[in-house]
Amino acid sequence: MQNRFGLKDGVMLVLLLTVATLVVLGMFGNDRVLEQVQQVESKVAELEGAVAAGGDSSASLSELRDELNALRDAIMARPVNVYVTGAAGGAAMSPPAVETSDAWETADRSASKSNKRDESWARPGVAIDWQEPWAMGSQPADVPGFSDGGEFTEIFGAQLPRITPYLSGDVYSRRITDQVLESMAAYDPDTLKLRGVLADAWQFDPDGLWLRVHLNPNARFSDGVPLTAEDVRWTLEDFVFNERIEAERSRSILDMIEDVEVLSDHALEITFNKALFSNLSGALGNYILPKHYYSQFEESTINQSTGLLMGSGRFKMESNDPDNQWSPGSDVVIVRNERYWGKEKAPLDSLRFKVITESVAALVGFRNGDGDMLTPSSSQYSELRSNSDFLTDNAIYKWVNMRSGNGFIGWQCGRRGGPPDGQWTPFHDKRVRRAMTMTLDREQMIREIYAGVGVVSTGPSSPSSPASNPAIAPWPYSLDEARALLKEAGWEDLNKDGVLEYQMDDEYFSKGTPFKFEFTITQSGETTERIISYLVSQCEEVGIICEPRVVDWSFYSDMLKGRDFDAMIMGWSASGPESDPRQIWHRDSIQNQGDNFIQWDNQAASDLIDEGRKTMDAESRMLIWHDFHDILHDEQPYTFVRVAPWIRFINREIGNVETYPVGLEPAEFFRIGESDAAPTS
Amino acid sequence: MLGYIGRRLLLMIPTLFGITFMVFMLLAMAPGGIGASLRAAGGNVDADSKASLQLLYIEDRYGLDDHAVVQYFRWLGRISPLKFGDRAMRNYAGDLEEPPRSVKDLPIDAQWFGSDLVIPEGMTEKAMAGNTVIANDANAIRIAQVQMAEAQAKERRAEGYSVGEAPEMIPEYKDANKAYLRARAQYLLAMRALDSKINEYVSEDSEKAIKAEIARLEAEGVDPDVAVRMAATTASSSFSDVIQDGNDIDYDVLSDRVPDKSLETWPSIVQAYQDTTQKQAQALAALTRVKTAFQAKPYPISGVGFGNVINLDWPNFGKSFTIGRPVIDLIAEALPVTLLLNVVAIPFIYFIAVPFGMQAAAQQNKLFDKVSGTIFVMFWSIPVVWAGVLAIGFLADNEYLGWFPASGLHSNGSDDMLYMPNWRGGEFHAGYLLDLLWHLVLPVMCLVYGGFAVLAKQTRAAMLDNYTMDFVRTARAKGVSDSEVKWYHVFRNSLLPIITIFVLVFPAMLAGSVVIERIFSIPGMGSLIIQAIFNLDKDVILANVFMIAVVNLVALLLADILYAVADPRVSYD
Repeated sequence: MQNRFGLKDGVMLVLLLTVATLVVLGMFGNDRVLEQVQQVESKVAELEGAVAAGGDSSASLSELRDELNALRDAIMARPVNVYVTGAAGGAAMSPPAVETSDAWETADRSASKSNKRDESWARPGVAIDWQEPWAMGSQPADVPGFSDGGEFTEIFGAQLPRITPYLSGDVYSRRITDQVLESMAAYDPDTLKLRGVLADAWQFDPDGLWLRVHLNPNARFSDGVPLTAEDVRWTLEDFVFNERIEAERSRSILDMIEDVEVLSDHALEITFNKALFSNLSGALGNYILPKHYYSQFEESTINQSTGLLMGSGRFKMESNDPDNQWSPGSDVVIVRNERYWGKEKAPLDSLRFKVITESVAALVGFRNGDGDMLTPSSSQYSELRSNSDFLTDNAIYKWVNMRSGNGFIGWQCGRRGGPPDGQWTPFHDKRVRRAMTMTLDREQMIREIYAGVGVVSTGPSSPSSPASNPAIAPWPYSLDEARALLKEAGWEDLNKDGVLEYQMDDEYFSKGTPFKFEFTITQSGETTERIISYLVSQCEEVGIICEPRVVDWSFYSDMLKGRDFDAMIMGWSASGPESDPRQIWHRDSIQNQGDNFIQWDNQAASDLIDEGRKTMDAESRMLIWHDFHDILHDEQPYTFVRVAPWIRFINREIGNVETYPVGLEPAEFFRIGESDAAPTS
Repeated sequence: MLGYIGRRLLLMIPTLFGITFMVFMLLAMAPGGIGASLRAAGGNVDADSKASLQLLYIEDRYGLDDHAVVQYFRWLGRISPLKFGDRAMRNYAGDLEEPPRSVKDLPIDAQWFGSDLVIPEGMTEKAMAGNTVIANDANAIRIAQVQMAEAQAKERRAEGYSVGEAPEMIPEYKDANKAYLRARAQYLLAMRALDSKINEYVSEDSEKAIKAEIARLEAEGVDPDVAVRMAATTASSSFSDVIQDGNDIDYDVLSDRVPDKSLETWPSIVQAYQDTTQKQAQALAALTRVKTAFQAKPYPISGVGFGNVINLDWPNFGKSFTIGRPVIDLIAEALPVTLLLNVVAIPFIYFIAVPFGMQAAAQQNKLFDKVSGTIFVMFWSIPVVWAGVLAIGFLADNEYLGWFPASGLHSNGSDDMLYMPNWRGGEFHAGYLLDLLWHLVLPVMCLVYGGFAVLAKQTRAAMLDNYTMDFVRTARAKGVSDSEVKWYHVFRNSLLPIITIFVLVFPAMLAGSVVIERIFSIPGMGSLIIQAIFNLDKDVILANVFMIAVVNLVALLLADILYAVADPRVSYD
């Protein structure tokens, strides 16, 4: 026992460990300091660049001064040994209020005078669609309580894999890139019409085969470099259509683009390989990337990147350094683009996007003030919608917009499993399908299954969309009418066993076949249970046996592909006010990997789809879609159950929250009571 | 001993083969495939009309349309440090430029179509002619590109980086690569068009068969309506088994059937096949061009070669097809987070459970033993999901206690914080480190409480074993005090099983805790793996399985070695 571990050894060991820990911690600390020095340095370099580009009209001096002030504050607030002379007093450092609006007005007026209706870029003989400069739907400064600055935090429910444009496909990353990048045109938040953003005019071929665009000469990327037609060409031809870049999703969506030709610095022509109405929005709606930034990278660097994001929008990434990009696991923070080229800068200093995957934690985080906006679950919404404590601090917004999902029950109209040897289902007859719709009280379903969240839907487009026929009212809930329709179709319960039997003997069923069908649904917890029990009991009412079958989603999609079901419930999500119905409704989409899972084979509807796709004029096309909607309503291949509105909890400290038909515009938000003076510490 | 270790290490190789092969096959047999995960977003399905086209491209890029066994061996080839055949290059960003993949064979032999199929004269030559190298002297853009590539190479050489043998070929290589990928996609589309034509052809054939069957039934005197109904099931078409579930075409079956050339759709499938052969010829020509450019070695070659056949290179764990990023990057992001959690949690378990276990053994069957045992088992039986949600609801919600944050590892403003706690401007700032620790409290609590029972009971059992030993009785008999007996005679001898447990716990640490990471929104290994499983993201799952298997096997080996070290009676020779 000579080597006994005594008290002294213990003390020594503890001391040693402490020293080691401190060293390690100190190293981490140093690392962070270094990182921040680098950030400040890169910012300084950026500013230097801007100063060097002196005559640049967009980088007005006052903006530069703002940025320098912000930088000085940043330096002071950080553990960096940088002393800025003159900042010691600190008290009077609040930057002058931005007074550039007048300057803008005059610059704009003179600009519009000089190139007033310059039509030299256009093709003669085709009308030019002139665009008013893009303006915010609701001016933040006109809203009481307006103040400049502050941060807005949105809570996301899923992890973002990446935010590099065209390589990321999910809705969440889209919400971020939408703030940083701009496209040539976008949907007007109020009217849902396509309006120019980067483009100030365009010409669309009446036959839909070419598009000429004139870009706003003032447009600039967030680093001050002007945005030109070459950037547009580069984005499409050398980025999206560069096969070495893994942008397959975008490439397949844009496969109608044949060629992009630069006509001048601000004019270009895009040609298409097929004439489709969607060419216009498809070609104009793409993000325009800065060639000078993205072209410096190898394709493999872009493929593996997580946060290479730079554009011309109202916000920008804090750092565009490829070695210091955002990576999943941390919050995404985008800061105001102080040199935004358009008229209105965003009132907020920064937007933060925070991921909380668990819904209870998300709500707690929201109520604790970790976030300003939350998409609640249905149960959270129904629990809190009348909670006055909650409502004093928070507002609840609920509205239907162009991105609202559409939930429906699809009836198998063809042979189950596909022709030739598949069995017919009772739903091949439109009277039966309509009877099914009338058997289901959709109002009640929304109330009891979906916690009151939803609007009864009548067709494939959201009611806010111009493609939706406003004259159509949902089929009423009426069991009697449903029974009558079923009887007309040959289904009647003559032996009084409570189940309908087929009373005819024809190519579809033999006489006496009981009305029985399988209802397929994916597993999603309590909602699934409620839907099943409602459907089964309603079917029982009219004498139909409904056999529920709950399957996993991956199995479900195989089943859809093989058309191997009688009835199924699903939802379509939308990303714009108008979508091409061909993939879902056209008879050609029954085969060829189309999404006409229910094998609804309707010649009149298919003809209308073909006609609509070729109609370039929006208004006459809408009339065609209305007729198409009419046929769908009559035929009821789907029982449209509900359009799911967006629900958002938003902190009342956030001002100017407008619920637009396009969704929300965080660039218009502001933080009430946030002083616009820089923090003076 | 060394021999033993060597044998064990060699045995690991077939074990790893077995584990990964089983996981791979399980994934391959799972229904649905990747289409489901690519399309579903938040319960709704993307109404995008181009979804199937995207699927086609992605399947081809990641080789997901090949047979599962082929995919498995390709995966093995990638992760093996020994590579055979053409060596990959590394571009200036340090990423791999793999040798171009070969073009797929035509789905069915041209002979099947017989004399109806006419392959255009000089098709291959024409395709080749369309894919010649763009001459450097004829094209201004190309000249500029080549000059830039050469300048870049010179610069890199001056900085001491390696450069390929023919850096002036970089623009040609890139263009050729793009052209090849484009031609390959065109070929894929043509094959799909052929698929749908054959689909139509087969349905025409079965309609014909049904008509014949109806006529036969009616001739037998069956009621016309019933005949129609019956015919659908009794008619037999020679092509009916060509179409599999999910509208896929089995070309092996098709090639065994004799084509019915009288059908109306026959010319259209011949035409589609002819298109396909043409597209294939173009893809082959583009492949030749890109191969030539590749073999000129525009970029530095990757790895160490032994002759031209075998070479040594880093294992490549592939890419996640849902995220599109290298698996190694994903693990490198997630692993430190999980390790951090466990490095904090495991000492807690030990520092609490071991002393309690010791005390329980010392006071066997007394109150302390029973109470601590009961409490630990109670803890052990509380489901983590429930505890986590309760902890968030009560300890994190400002409505109640609000002591701890509800999610994540950092506060909103943590990027601007100083690292250490500080008093700046007369106010206390917690700093980055404390902020992190503060966020760790709840998840660590959830990780820890369930572990007490096992370790405390283990310690207690080991201690009790030793308390009954002769040497303990002897020590007591010669008057050694209770605490001396406990610490120097019993505890030291009870350490062995406790050390073993640690070795076994370590691999589990790497896997992360799915539930806790999900509840507290911590992007660690658990979240990564569960997401990959939902999406059937093969490469991510396999890389994780592989990593965890290796660590497990090594840990087991380590445990065995430690036994021998700790106990001289154990020998493996």
